[in-house]
Formats: sequence, structure tokens, C-alpha cells
Amino acid sequence: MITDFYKQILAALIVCIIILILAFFLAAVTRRVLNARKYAELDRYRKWCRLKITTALQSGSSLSIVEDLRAQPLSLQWHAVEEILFDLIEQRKYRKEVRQLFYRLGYRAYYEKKLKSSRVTTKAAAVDKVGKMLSEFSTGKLIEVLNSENNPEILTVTIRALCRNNYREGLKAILERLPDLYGKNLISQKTIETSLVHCSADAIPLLVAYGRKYGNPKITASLLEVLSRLPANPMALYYAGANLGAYDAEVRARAIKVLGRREASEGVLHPALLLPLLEDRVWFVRLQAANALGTLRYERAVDKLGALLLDQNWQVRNAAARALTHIGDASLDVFLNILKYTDRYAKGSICEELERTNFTQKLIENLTSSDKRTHEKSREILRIMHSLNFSTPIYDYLNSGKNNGIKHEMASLILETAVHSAGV
Amino acid sequence: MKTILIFFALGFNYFVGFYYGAMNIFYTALLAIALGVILRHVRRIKYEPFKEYGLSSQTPSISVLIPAHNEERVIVRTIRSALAVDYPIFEVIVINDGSVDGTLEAVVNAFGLKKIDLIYRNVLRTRPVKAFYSNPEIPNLVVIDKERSGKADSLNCGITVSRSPYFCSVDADSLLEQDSLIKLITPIMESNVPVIACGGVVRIANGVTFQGTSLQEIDLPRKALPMFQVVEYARTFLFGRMGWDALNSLLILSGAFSLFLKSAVLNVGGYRGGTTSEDMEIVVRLHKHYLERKKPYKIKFISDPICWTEVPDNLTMLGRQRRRWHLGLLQTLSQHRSMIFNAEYGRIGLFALPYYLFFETFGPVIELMGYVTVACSFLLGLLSTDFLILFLVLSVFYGTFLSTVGVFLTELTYRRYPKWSHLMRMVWYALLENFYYRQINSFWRTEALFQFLAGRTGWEHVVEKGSNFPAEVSPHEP
Repeated sequence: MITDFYKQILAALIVCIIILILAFFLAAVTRRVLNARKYAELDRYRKWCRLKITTALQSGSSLSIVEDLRAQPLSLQWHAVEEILFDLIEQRKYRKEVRQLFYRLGYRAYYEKKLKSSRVTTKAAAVDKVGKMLSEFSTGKLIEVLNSENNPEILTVTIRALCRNNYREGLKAILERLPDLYGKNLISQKTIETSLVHCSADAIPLLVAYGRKYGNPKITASLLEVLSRLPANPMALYYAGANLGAYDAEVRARAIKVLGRREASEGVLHPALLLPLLEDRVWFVRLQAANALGTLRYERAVDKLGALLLDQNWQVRNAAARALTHIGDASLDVFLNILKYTDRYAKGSICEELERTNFTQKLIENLTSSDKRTHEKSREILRIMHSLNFSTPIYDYLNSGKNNGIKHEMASLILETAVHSAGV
Repeated sequence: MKTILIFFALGFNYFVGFYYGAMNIFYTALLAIALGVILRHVRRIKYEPFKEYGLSSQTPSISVLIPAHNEERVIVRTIRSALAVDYPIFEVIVINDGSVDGTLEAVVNAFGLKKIDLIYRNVLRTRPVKAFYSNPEIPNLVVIDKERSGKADSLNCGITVSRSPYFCSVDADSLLEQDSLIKLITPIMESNVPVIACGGVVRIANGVTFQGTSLQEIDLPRKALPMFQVVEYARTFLFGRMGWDALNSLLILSGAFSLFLKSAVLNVGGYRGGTTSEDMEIVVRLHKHYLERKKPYKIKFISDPICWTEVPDNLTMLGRQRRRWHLGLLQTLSQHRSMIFNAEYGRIGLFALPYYLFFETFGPVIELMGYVTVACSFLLGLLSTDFLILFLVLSVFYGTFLSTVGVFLTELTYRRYPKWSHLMRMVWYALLENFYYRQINSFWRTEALFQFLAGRTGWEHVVEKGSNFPAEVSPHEP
């Protein structure tokens, strides 16, 4: 019933599949053979090149080895020299000489030519290598790519390369194109921010100038994020201060990040500027404000941070509790009030943060304080914590603490709690 | 009577022919796509920025969630490997899911943990937590001790405690490579569209030697059963998942190693209990949630990051594992049946889910029935000997071809099995699996289908055996 025609089709299919199996198998075998040979030889070249280049660099005669190192593009020696040079350019002391070697050995010209390739992977790889050569003379070529490209993959690599080079023109070109990149969604915000943090502190005036120029919330937020990672600078602090009242919550939150660093506390803006943001309508702005004021240890924020202990958002409550623990003894009253008069859930959040931040250790140490009020407040907080089952630090101290006075206090507060809960 | 039998046998033969043809055309297309994607990816690796992300403060923090139930023997090693990953900010959360062996004690002793008081905000309504443990000297390790409630509930518990925007689920018997997390986060960092989940390759640890938390020597398993699984995993991960990823239609990410955006998972209510394949169910539910709300999103799979896991090396355990996976697939399809052939869900509703329904769910049954019908047809004189032989040879060689491509793709991405004998053995097993492993797998999956029809919902537990233990990975075909 089955005609010969069908049999012939099946047989033909079988032959095709066998050929394909053999092709893939042979491809795997060939790849292994070729790679084994290639890498053995490459290792040999690497060893030879490393010795030759490092010796020349150490003796200050790097240009004398140019002819020895010269090789056909993409040959094994070419790859070995390239790898070693990329490795050595990371060391600041050899940077200038290695750049020269890249130029004289023709690597720069070769990869700059590849920047015109229409293949995405070839072009992106060339951009990456040109960027790694850290040459000021290539910045123009990279800028050309940046301005003419719309492929997200190439743009990502180009921006990273320009930032790695850290030349003003490159940074300027990125900032010029930023509205277009964000507008057309050609690149992720994270990519821009991760790349721009490679900039040095010298870039701050330029970042601030462009931030002011655009006034685009997405750009402002990105630039503020970058500024928060660069060393504190009056210009950046003023710029952040001016954005505290921005309409966009992301901008406000990131402006707080710039201002809420320890090194910024000695800057030009007063931490009191952050106080109104503890009442911001957006939770993550309140959270950033609490974090910042805690880091700055701004004691006048204690009451407002205390109010945030009852915030509707648990992350904000935790941040406020953490901030208060950073502020230290000045927060004792606030903690005590909340622990005495609020619901069990809020109390629990505070106890958790007190333990997590190791503030309980401070409370325990306060049991030997000569200041009677500090002693009493700390003791009361520990007692409430114990009544809420946050007792681990107390028992830990009882088991392994050294101060008998503190142990005695602890034993008595445990007894008090037991008596209280038994209704005696 | 005989005429009717002949009529049915003939009809079924044609049906099997068409079904087999359609399935293989689809596999071939998937394979071609995956080959293209991986070849391109190999070129892209040269300028991938993952090393820079490893140093960047912009890289989001990740919580590594490790649910563990009776994993006393392996849990400390797994935690050490998770703590050793190169990643800027991460925490490891171990969820002791009511172990009755010494899992908790082993962890507490190995890491010097102490009980701490934490509030448990039970947003995902999990079973109660008994205690939390940590060590101030290892601030990024938290251990949760909870009542036994299954993997889904344990993961939900970990999500609740996690403080990072992303979490990565890792099995208690799996080891992460040092750069696996940073590679897994790279597509998230670079994408313009929110990537809500991302999976990586899981490789088989049987035969591999570890020195502490790092790989010492890569070798293939000695036993046949894990060897079949090596070939199967290569095929599944490197062309199955890569192909689906290229089509933007991934429905499964391995529970053993996948990264999720926490807020996305919280939006869908976390993992769902009552299914035996929570890793597939959560992915389908995420698709559903985002597609219904018309929000842009991506679910990615990448061939670079590697997690090593051990697989069952005896038929009983493997059978249990495979029945459970198939039952999970059936449960997921059943729970989300409204999505199938529903244009509202685009490529997922019209393409990916129907594929899983017709080829993955019913494939094993049709395959087994095909064997019976072809044999009957032959006995009834409906098939010539020539045709029977040709059809079987075609079937065997096509299966071998798919697996050989999987082996080839392994060579392309990471030449992880360095010896010549490794390559030869893998190709040999690619051929052998068509004579035994494939059929027994189809049998287990058919069993699972009948169990599902009979209303079975529970897990079949895979317990440790010798030096090997189960992998909670589901490499559904292909």
C-alpha cells in the first residue's frame, strides 16, 4: 500500500539526516582540533610577547621592539600581542608606552577601519577595542559612531568605550545625544548610569551644566545618580539642592542621594533642607530622606523620623528606624514613645531594626551609663523588646556577657516582664 | 471487524506521520534559530560588559533563595558556593522547609549562626516561620526555619524576607559558578524593556569533582542514566530554551537556577502551591499578568551562566522525577487553559501554549501508540518491511541528529567537557538514547498523563541515592 515514492522520500530524508549528523560531528571534531592547535600556539606567543614587552617597558625601550612584534592582522601573533597590550594598559605606569605600541603596530588603524563595518558584532567589537586602547585620538572616531548609530548594542558599547576613555569631548558627545537616546529608548538608563560613573570628578561641572540645560526628568535623574557616586562637590550639591523640589519623584529621590552622603555634610547645604522630604507623598522619596538624614546623623530630624516609624510603607518604617539608630542616644525618647504607645506591628518593626543594626548592643552598654536618664530609657526599651519576644540579645549577653552589673539588670528586667505578664 | 481495524490503523498511521513531521519541522526551526543565536552570542562575549557590572554600584542587589528539605549532606556546600559568587551586593536566604534530618543543625554549626528576632511580614500567606538565624560576621546570610510546606511556599517565604529587588532561586543540591549571577543580571541591565525573569544553563554535576566550592575537574558521569541526561540537558537548554528565547516565548525557566524581578512575582501573588512544577507555572502566570495589562516585558534565557546540579542515577528516582515534571506541565496547562488559543495572549496563547499542549503533553502518548500501531500495521500486512525499517531508521537518526546538535552547541558555548573521550561518549549516547531512554521517558510521561486524568496532584519525592540526588530542573523536550 505504501508506494515506492514514499519509500524514496524516507530514504532521501534518512540520507540527509545522516549527512547532517556527520557534518555537525565533524564540525565539533574540526573545531576541537583547530582550537587545540590554535591555543597551544597562542600560549607560546603569549609567553614570548609578555616577556619581550614587559622587558622593553621596564627598560624604557618599548619602541625598539616594534618590528619584532609586528604581525599580520588577525594572525596568532597579532592576537597574542593585542592581549598582552590590553593587559598592560590597565597598569597606569605603562599606559603611555602601550598606547604608542598600539598605534605603531597598526592596531588602532585596523580597528578604526572596522568601525565602518556594517556587521553589528564586528563593529561593536571594534568599538570596544578602540575604547580599550584609551587613545585620545580615537575619541573623534568613537563620537562619529555614537552620532551615526541607532543600534542599541553598538550604542551601549560606544558609550562604555567613551566613558572608559574619560575624555571631555567624549563625555560631551554622550550628553549631547542623551535626549535622543532616552527619547527613542535606544539605551537603558542603567547602561548610561553604569558607564558615566567611570568619569572622574573633573566631569562634574559638565554633568551639572547639561543637567541644567535639558531639564528632562529622566536625564536629570540619571545625572544625579552619577553625581551621587562621584566625590561630593559644591556644584553637584547645589544642583541636587535645586532639584529637591522637582515634580518628578525619581529626581527628588536621587537629589537626596547626592546630598545624603557623609562627605556632603561638610558641604554647602544644610541637612535641614531634607526635612520636608520626610513628608513627601511618594514613599521612596521619604525612604531616601530617612536614609540620608540617618547617614548625616542630623539630630533635629529625630521627631520627624519618629513619625515615619508609623509610615504606611514598611520599607520607610525600617529606614526611619535605621536612621534613628544611626543618630544614637538622641533617638531614645522617640523609640520609647513609639514602643509604649503604638500597635504591636509598628513596635515589632522597630525592635527588628534595633536588633538588625546592632543598636541593642548600644542599649545594653547604656545600662552602665552614668547618665541616669539614658540608663533608664535604655533599660525600658530593652524591657519592652523582651516583652515583645525580641530577647535574643538579652539572653546572648546573659550567656556570654562579661559585666555582672549589666547581667543583674537584665535578670531583673526579665523578672519584671514575667511578673507584669502574669498580672501580679 | 478486520476492515474497521485496518481503517483505523491506516488513519492512525497517517496521523502519526503528519504529527511526527510537524513536530520535527518545528524542532528543526527551533534548532536553526538557536544555532544562529548562539553563534552570535559567542561573538558578542568579547565585548560583554559583565565584568564591569561586577564592580558597579549600579548593579541591583540579588537575594539567592535556597529552599532545602532534608538536604543535610549537601546544603553547606551549596551555601558556600552561593556565598562565593562574584557579585557586588547579594544575600543568601536558606529556607529550611521542615527538614527532619540534620539540615538546620548542619547549617547553624557550619556558619556559626545564632537565632535572631525578625518580624515576618506574611504578605504571601505562607506557612508559619519558626525561627530566623544569622551571624553578624556573615551579614548576607539568613536562614529561615519553617514548617514543612513544599518548595513553592518556601520560595514565597524567602521572597517575603528578601530585601533585594531581584531574587534567584537555587536548588539545595546545586552549585553556582562564580560569575553566574553577574552574567544573569547582564540582560536586565542592558534591556530597554523590563526583564522580569532570566534563566541560565543548568549542567549535570555527576562525575564532576569539586574542591570546596570551585570546580576542580570536569568529567562525564560513569553510569549510563546520568549520561543520557547530559545529552538531554545539552539539547534542552542549548537549543530548546535558546530557540524559545529567540521567539520571545519562553514558558519554563529551571527552578534550579533562575532570576526573577521580585515586584513582578509579588504582583502575581508569588509561587503557587498545589502544582508539582512551580517553575513553569510562575512563568506562565507572569506572561498572563503582563499580557493582560499590556505592559512591556521580557523573559530571557542566556547560555552563559552555569549552575551545576546532580541528577538521579537510578530508574526509580528518575521515573519519579519525570512523572512529577510531566504532571506539573499538565497542571500548569490545565490551570491556564483559558490562555490556549486565546489571541489576547499573543504568541504565548496562539503558539507556545498550543505547542506544549500538542507536542509536549500528548507527544509521549502518541509516540507509544505509534509504536503499537506501527507494529500492528506490520502484522496486519498494512506496512511493508521496507517501510517499517525506513520509518524506524528515520526516527532514530532524527533523534540522534537533534542530540548531536545539542552536543555541538555545548562545544560552541563552553567546551566544558575537554577530553576527546567526552565528545565521543556524548555522541554515542546521542545515538543510544533513541533505543531505550526515549521510550522509557515517554512511558513515564504517559503514566503521568493517566495519573493526572485520575486526579493525582501530589509530589512523588525523589530521595537521594548514593552520591547522587535529584535536580529540580525541568528540561521539557526538546
